[in-house]
Amino acid sequence: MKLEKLYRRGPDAHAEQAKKALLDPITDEPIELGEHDRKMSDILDNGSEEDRFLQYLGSFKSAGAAKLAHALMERATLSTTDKALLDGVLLKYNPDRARIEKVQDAIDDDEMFEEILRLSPRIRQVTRQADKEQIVEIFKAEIERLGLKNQQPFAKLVKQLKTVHQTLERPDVASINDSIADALAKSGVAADKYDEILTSGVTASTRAEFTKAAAEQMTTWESMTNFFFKYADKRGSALYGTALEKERLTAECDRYIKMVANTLARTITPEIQQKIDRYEIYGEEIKLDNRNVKTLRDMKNTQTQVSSRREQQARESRYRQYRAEEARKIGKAANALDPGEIDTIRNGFAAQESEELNKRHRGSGILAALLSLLFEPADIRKTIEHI
Amino acid sequence: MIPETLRKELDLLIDAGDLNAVEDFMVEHFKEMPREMQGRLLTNWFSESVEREQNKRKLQEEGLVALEKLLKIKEELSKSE
Repeated sequence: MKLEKLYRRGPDAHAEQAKKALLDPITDEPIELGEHDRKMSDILDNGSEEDRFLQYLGSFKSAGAAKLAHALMERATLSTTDKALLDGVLLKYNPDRARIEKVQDAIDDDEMFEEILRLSPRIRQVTRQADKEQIVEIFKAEIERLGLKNQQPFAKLVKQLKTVHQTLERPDVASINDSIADALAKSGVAADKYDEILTSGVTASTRAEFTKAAAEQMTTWESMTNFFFKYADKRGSALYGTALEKERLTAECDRYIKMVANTLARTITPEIQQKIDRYEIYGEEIKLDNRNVKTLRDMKNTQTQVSSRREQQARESRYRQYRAEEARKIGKAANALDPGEIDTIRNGFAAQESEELNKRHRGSGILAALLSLLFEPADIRKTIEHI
Repeated sequence: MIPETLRKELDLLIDAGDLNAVEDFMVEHFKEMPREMQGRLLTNWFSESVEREQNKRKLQEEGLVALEKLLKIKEELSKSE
């Protein structure tokens, strides 16, 4: 959000927002601001809270936010406009801090954490070498980092945690496995299929079948059952014209029952699920959209491109522009900055550049994490230190 | 920032294009990774697993509806004998 937009809303809108019910993002239960009902002086008197507030201020993409952050860090006297802007930010910051804390609390919940471990084989693996408390603390720090940035990745994470919480709260969702087991028993084909699936192992085609099922098989199943059902409503001999037709329909029906039962069996059989988990972990392909880096080879190519001479020249040019703008904000010429100011500007540029690169070259899972490693601010900073 | 020695090893694995080895490496050296990197790994792994679970759930719900319809159709077919 633009900082100025907050300001334009005026004091009445701010007061209105402050009155709005504050809800826990995970449970939707009303919550209180409590210790997060802070005044600006409380924040500035507390180093770590000030850091959080400045980080939050940085999430507003505007020159006003950067200027305000700089004025706060310098403890400069604020203009009337700056004070009004700050009041607006504070009215949003306090409830957001309370919400972030509630999201962190969700990870602290034992039942929730157990469910996360059940869902993610990789997190299970790292929990064996780092204790649970450490993992929870790392998770919570990342939640805070994303929450203070206040952008889409945080909203996505909250939505996913809420889904996990709802699954735990709704026994009907958890009992779907029982319904499937009943339906499989009725199908009469599942039992002999189990052995076949277990002994054949999970192959690339199994995984492809599994992951594409929602997109492709569902369409097939839907059209196929709708077609049959239209006739099934007529009952009896109206279902088919001739004995041959009946035989064909029965065979088709059996074929589809086997296909659906086979896939469903995989989703509730623990041994199969473990095999799928392993395949998910060790699979060579990663689910992607067009903007994503697909493979390690792509990532390596990206790395080569990013470190190329042309890219370096473009980055230097962007840095010079950034430095001039930042210098102007504090009323100085770019060549009159002191070493402390240059240091701050370099860090700010490296952080911004890192974020931009990460946005441009998105990957999923391990690749996303590796890309963030590739575009670490500290590495980017090295490339502009000679300027 | 990731220690230089680990980064070199990681670069070699990336060059080899072996995702299994890279994943294992990240898990094995999880404790040595920078804190922010650890956080990103955890949230990325979590997001992937939730997406996978949601796909599975959708598959189960829609597959169950399809299977129940098919069983009913088969029942109707057998009744008409």
